Amino acid sequence: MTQPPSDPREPADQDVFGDISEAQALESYDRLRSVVDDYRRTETAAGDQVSGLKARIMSIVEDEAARGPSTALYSSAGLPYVMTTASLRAQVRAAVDEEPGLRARRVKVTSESAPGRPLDLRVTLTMAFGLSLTEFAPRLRARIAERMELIIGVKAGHVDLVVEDVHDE
Amino acid sequence: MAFEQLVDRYESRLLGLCIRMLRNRTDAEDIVQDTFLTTWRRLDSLQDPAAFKSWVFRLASNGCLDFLRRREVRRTDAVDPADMVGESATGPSVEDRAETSAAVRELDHVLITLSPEQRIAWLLYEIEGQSYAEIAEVLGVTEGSVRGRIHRARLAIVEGMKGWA
Repeated sequence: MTQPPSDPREPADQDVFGDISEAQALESYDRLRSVVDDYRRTETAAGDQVSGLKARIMSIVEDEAARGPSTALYSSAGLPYVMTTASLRAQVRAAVDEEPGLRARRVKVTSESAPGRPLDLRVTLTMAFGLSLTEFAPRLRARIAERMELIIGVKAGHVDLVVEDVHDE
Repeated sequence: MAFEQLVDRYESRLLGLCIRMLRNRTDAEDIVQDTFLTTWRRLDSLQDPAAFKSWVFRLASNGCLDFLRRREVRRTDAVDPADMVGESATGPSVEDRAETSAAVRELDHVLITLSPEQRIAWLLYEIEGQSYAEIAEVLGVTEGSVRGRIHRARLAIVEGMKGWA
């Protein structure tokens, strides 16, 4: 059987050369190698205008660096928008602090935002002595979800609650 | 390494890949811009700096594939003739210069006929010089799947360029 053209990046791949006609076809492909090489060397359309794109990217990056990190979000209609991560965290922390006996510590977005996909969160908090996690957890998750949808405009997905400490009220 | 240096290193390669995939410079620039801004916003989630290359190529590749799927849905669902824009209506991906050979133009034309999944795998392998393992990492598929896609792409290219092989 005719072997495929050798390629230093790949081991011989016998299973895909099941019959002679295929092997012959790939010999033909090997004869097109110079065309592929020319295609690789050919400039993509307007390939010399890259600097304008870089300037745009760096301008947005510098703007965001000045404001602080941002989180990319999608509206219920699937349209992209961005808000500072600090603002997003502040809204979630506020929802925690509204619940009697709870104090928010940290908020981390644990999922990547995508159209139609809710945002997963990991919320670290402390609770007053005597409170029951199983009692307040469903209520707190609902409160966080409601605030996120009302104020931020995204649905909450999984909200992991981590009680880091117990404090005296 | 400063973020700007990462942009310098990968910008033209990603833009070239996206132009060859989408055949439209404006759309390609949007994908590359989104790719870099996503990496900028999620840099803290990058555990291994050596994985940056695979990460940006994955974001850009997925961006192109998602874009083409959306365009296909729009084209299929379109009732307004102005929305019926298919790949055949977009421009060439290579400079239409006199020194661009007829064979290269023909190859560029044949590449349009490949499925987006085959085309991205072929471009990453033949143009970017990535290995099967690297492409599998970028596309989130098995090496066997990458081999299959590239193999079928090669067969299609031979078939489409019978007069040149």
